[in-house]
Amino acid sequence: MNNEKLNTIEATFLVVIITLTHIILNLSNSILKSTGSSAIINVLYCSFLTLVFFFILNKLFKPFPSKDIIDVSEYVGGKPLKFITNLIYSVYLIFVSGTLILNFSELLRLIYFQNAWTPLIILIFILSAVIVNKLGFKNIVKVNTLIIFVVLVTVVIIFGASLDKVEFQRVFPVLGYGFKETFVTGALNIFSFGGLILLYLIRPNLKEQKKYKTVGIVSILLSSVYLLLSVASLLFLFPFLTTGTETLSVYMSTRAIEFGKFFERADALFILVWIFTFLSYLSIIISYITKMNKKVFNVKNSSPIIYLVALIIFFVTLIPKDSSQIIFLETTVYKYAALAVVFVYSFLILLIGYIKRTGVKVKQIKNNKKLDLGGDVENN
Amino acid sequence: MKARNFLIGVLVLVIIGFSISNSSAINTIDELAYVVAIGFDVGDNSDLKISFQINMPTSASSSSSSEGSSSGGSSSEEGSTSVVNTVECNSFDVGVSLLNSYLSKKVNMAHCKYLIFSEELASQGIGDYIYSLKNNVEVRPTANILISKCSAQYFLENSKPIIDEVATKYFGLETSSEKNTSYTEAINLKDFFCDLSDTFGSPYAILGSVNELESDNVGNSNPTLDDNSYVAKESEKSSQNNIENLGLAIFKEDKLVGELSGLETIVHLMLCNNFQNATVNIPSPFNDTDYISLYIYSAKSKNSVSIVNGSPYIKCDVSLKMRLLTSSEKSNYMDEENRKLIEDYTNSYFGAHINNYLYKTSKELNCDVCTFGQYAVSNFLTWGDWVEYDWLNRYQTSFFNSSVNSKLTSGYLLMETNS
Repeated sequence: MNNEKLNTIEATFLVVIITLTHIILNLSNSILKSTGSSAIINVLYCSFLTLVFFFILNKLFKPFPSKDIIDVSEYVGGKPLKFITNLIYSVYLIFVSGTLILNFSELLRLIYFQNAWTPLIILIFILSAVIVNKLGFKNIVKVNTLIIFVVLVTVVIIFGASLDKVEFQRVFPVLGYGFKETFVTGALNIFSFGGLILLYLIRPNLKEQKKYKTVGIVSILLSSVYLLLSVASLLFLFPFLTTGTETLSVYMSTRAIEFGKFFERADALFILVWIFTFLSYLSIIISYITKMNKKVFNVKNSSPIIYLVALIIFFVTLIPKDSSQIIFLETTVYKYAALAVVFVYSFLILLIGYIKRTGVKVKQIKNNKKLDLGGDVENN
Repeated sequence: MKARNFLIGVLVLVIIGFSISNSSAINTIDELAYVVAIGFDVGDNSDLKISFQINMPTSASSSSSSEGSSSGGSSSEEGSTSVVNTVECNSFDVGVSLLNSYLSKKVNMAHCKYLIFSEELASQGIGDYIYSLKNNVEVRPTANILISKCSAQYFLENSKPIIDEVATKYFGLETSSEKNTSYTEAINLKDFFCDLSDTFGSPYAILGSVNELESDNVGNSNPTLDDNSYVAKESEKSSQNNIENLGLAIFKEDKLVGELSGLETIVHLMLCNNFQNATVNIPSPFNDTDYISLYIYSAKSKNSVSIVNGSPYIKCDVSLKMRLLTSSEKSNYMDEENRKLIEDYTNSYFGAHINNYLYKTSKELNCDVCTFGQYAVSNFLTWGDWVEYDWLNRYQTSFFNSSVNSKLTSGYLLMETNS
């Protein structure tokens, strides 16, 4: 079990990969479409809100050292709530990962394998993720740490390589579609930090509990920086994104990159890196769903759960009929699902748990005081 | 352990199955015909006539130029590295399918360097074609957009590499010549598409033609023009057919409305801060009948736009750095007084041309090709206000204030020939 303990960097990168995979697909595009030219201000604003949210989260988690959201649910509502939380988390993670893998596989099919059957591409991802899971959690984490470094470099390259073509005036008009769209309805764009879901689950895996705060802050800041770079490069490079419908926007920007006359088609290299990213992402998701269910159902052998989860994810990918449904699921449904699960439901469970725990503590202190007072009276 | 091995086995089988399936087999190099340039013309019987210049493998580089669909074929000279096939159709994608139907290989456009539209088609509007091309995964956003003064088919059939053997390399070098001359600007599909869907400025493309001997497609050279004031087809006749990219084709929305000459393009690049270097002739301050040649190696323009009484007030302060190329007997151009005189002449020469350019693009063409909209937008707080202002149509009401500040830094080897 000690083998599964994570150091600060490993834990941080686990959280970051969730945001990164969404950035690679249509997350930045979705922010641009909802806010227009104020997308950069909106990302900064949402990053600030997420940081504030995490500080509260950290405070609420304080009375539950080494406990994750499943344990807190059990404390709050007993086994029924524990099952419900597990169900909500499992369904959410399966749905999100399924949609994401489907979208990415569609991208691969569109670009390279136009006559291929998409489920076959998905199957390669899922089978690989199952095998990786059989190799153990620690291996997934170590590979993920390596991959994240490469992905982060690619995001910086995409931004850096397009610097000579960018028009910084595209940040104007500063308020984009308006104040309300930037700061009121725009606040809903904190769904971009849906990767925070792992911060509810990661606590039992941390080597040092006191590093939880560092993991949270660094992962949010890293995600913010990369979201900002990605949104900025799209905003400065592609004016039509704010007005039209464009899928695979980050891929579009990689196609526009040229390193002199020698390296002209760098997009294939980016796609290769992203394939590893999505594989790592899927492995982590399957691994955490397995961990939760193992804990809830008290199962020793994780293999059946891994197979079952992989199979369900595969079935989920077969549900959408066309690209418009995939985009609807990825942008609209995912947005509200992330807000509901990560920012509302889990937060409420924690809040109730915190109140209950502190309430019990206060009662205990009062009782202790009463006992002390009773003893004093008797002594007198 | 057994389960893991089983899974690895299954994965290997799936990957092998995938790799030998139809999806990947069809994409081998032997199966593909690489298109290096695509030409779009108005069709005789259909909406569109598309010409594909296809690179020939070295072993198969015998000549041929054929017309598909209903037209007959014609031959071209021996040893050609590419062939031109033309199809008549109603849309780009159908054109590709038609070409595929009679080629033994699958057409692939991943190496396409040039997208050429004839002047006639561009005047009718090319928006739909640009959107279709942008939607195509194979066509690179870095493919250059060129508006041909002659028909696109003629352009492709008569453009022959003089120095290069490979057509793709030839096209690549053709567009990079703008870095040495500043007579045009390399505009690619991504740039054109962005401008087309933008609210900050209007789209423009490379203006080109085939410069050849004894053809009615060649424009007459005009003796009254400045060296730099040519547009494509107007420069001196060369002894061989060759692509000539000179000037810019200006669009209002997706329709061609005008063109910029070589000198206007130099001014355009200066104002847009995309200028690299250029050699320009200006009237000599020392002799009315002479010209002096300047090598301008740096041009920066400080642009600002403010809204005065509802109309845009555009201010451009251009700074130039240059060297003197001209030398003659008994000259001392680097003398402080002469230097000042040359700088003043340069300021007034470019000042006049900048004003001409600004008034031509605003009053005559009503196309903000310099994207002044990006400076104007900072005067607005929300996107709604900006869209309501309707910049692209308000540009016509602009008034300008331009100034040029040139700095003659040096001559070349001969600094003084007074002795």
